[in-house]
Amino acid sequence: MRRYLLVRLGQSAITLLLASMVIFLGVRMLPGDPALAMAGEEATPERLAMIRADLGLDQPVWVQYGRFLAEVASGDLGESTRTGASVASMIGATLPVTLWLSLYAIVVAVVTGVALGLLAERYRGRWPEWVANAAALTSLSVPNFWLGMLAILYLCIGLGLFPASGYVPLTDDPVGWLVHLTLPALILGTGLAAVIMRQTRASMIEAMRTDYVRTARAKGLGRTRVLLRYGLRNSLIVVVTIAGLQLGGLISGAVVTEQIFALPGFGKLTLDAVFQRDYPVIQAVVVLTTVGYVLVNLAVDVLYSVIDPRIRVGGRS
Amino acid sequence: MPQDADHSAAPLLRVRGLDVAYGDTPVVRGVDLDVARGERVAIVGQSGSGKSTVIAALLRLLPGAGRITGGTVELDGEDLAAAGEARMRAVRGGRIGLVPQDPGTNLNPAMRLGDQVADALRAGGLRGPAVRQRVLELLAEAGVPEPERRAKQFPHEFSGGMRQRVLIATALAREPELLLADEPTSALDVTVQRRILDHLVALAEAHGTAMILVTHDLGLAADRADRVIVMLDGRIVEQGSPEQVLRSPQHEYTRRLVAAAPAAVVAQGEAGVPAGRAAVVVAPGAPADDGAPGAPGGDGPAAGDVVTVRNLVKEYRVRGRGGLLRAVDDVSFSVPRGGTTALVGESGSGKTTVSRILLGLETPTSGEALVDGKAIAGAGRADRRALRRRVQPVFQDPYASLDPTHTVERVVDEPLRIFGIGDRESRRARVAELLDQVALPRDVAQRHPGALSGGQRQRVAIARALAPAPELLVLDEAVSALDVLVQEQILDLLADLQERLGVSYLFISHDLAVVRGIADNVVVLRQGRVEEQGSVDDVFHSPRADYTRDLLGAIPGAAFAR
Repeated sequence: MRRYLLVRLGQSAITLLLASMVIFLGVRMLPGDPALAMAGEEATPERLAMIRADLGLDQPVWVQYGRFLAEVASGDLGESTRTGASVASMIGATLPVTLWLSLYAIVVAVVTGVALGLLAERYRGRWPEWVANAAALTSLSVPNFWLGMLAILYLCIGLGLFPASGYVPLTDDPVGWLVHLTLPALILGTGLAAVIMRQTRASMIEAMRTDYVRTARAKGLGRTRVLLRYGLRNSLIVVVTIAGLQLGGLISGAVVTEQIFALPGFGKLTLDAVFQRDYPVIQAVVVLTTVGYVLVNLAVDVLYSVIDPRIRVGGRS
Repeated sequence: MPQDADHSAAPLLRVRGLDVAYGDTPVVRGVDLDVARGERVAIVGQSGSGKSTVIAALLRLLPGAGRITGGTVELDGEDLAAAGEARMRAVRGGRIGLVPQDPGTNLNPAMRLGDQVADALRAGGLRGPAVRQRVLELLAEAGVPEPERRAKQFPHEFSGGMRQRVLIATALAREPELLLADEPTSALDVTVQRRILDHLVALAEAHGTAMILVTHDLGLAADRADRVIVMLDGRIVEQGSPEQVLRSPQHEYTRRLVAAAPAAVVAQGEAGVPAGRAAVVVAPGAPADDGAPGAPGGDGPAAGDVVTVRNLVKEYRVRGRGGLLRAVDDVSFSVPRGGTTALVGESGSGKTTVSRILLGLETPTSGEALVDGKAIAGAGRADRRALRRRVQPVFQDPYASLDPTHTVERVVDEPLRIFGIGDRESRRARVAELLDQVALPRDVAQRHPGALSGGQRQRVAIARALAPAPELLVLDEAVSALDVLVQEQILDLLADLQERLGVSYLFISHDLAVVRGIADNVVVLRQGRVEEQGSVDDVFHSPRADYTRDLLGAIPGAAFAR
């Protein structure tokens, strides 16, 4: 197990290094000159050269890359070319919002998705399956922003159940935090819940056809017990894979949700930075997203080995 | 544990007029079946005969669209066919235990084995530390060594035989009165098979458990059962004591089964080798059928051998341990031109690795495997291509080895295209000729493999292998997946083809009884080493190695020799 972890960690490090190169070059290749963007249209060539020297843009690319790596590694993400504020502090302020929102949404999605998937399999061919299927299809087809606006209109303004906008940090007011995040998380999680429900159901159907499930029933175990103990665990691999892939996707999905509920999150920060060609911020945002993806994938792989003991030995079954 | 003495006269299980259908297709028709307490009944039949469906119906665990459409299943007078699900749950595991067929797929890969046995006990209401205690007892009783440690392991850490022991422990956990054993050992090696069956029967006897043993193997049924039932197309066509069924089979189908049972060949061994095949033994140096290039190289093989394997070694790195596994360890043998050499061994014996080296799919670590005096492994591109054409494989599973999206014509034509033999017209003629040779109607050419039976598919695989006119066919368990009667037909076909075409066979099998019928020479492999080799007659009549004697002794069908 430890060996497996070490190998996976090493692979993650290599992935990160490769990703950092792609990010660095990608940002360099964006159209537009950051020095020009900073200095404005009327800047003198001397002024531009000064800014370039200041940003290190006059150095060879590999030197710039080396400096970029060293800075990222030391946690120094530079300053925003727009506001001059430290990028680290900007991210520090916005990241928790998005992280909590995404995690909350994932929990909502996995819990409802798996529960509905199980229900659909347990009552195959009867009304609970129809209802679960219809719900999944609906939430897949309805766009997030529209659902969000409906929710604000009826649940927040109409019934006053939730606040329509804003965010309260967890450390300031845990209850307010929960209240503010619940509706956005539900909205963000519905689409994903639908995907997870469909996948859970499909792999449960697969699992319930296996020989070991029949053998388990021949022991005298009830259908529900077999479903949970023999079917679910073997279906979880699929669920974990999807949830992991989506957690990364949620961060971009959160952009829209954050906009609707006016949450001061990472998505909004990214959007603003792109519009303003704020290189250091864009770079930092992309690096962090990549790190997030790699970490989630690592977590997914570790979860695999917990779910399926055969994966621990590193061999095929 | 029969306590009610007044029941002892009536049978434990009494099935009357059982009909089972999948959707609208009836698969079991009017089956009547009695099992007395402590009695062992064997149900014999080929795939599709409905024997496993009967087992599933008794437990009311029919898959998908399967349902009981008529008849009664009385267990101690209670009709299970009409019982509710809650009632059935009490019967399953409690009164009727199941030992399933394939130990590879019948255990939950994500659950510790001890827990899987414990589930059977908990289903019966046992709770607390007693569960663990009983699990260890059961595992020990089923012959699992170090039960304390092994109970914490997962299925992938167990061998097939050990897994089957766990499944037996599970089935017996709550001391059911009736055990349903559905091909309990057909996925295991012969020597393991015998040990597991011995153990299963001994346990059943010790507990006074009645048993229904489902099998495709008439010899095995006759050896182990008090009564034999023969099923065909969903009906019972014959039943009686093993003596009756073997000595005076009434039904036509049973007669064919008895005649085809490969074990019969062993019993007849002394009387006379089956005609036709012994005649094929080629005297070394006898002119081969047609122009194989003259024996190459002065130090080459004897002129009469198409394959020469010398001191072959193949090692694999074992992941994690940093060690080496010797899959093939100093193996030498030859295949006479126009003759058949059999490689016999259990799983892990290295027989398939040897065949892969000959086919050029693996490179040997040392030693050589020569076809017509040349090694595929060291050959250049052009030579290798020529050698590949001379050696063609036929694999075990006719369902997996043919592309389901291709027509039969395309399958058989493929090697011709790859080796650039002939034009479109001549290839079409060649495919038709090949289909004739394997006795398939020509209109099969436009069908897809899915529309063919297992035996027909294996004929297609043989036609494909013969297409580039090879000198050697590597038949890797080529008849093992087939029903007994089909097996016999394919073996006849192979013998016939050898006689007509002069093609040589390397026949790989775990089944000594089959080998007896087709091979000239036998090489017995065990854990990568040659235990014994010689002519078929020598090896079968006077085996020198203990292991060979074990293998021979393990062939079911001692009942035939009585």
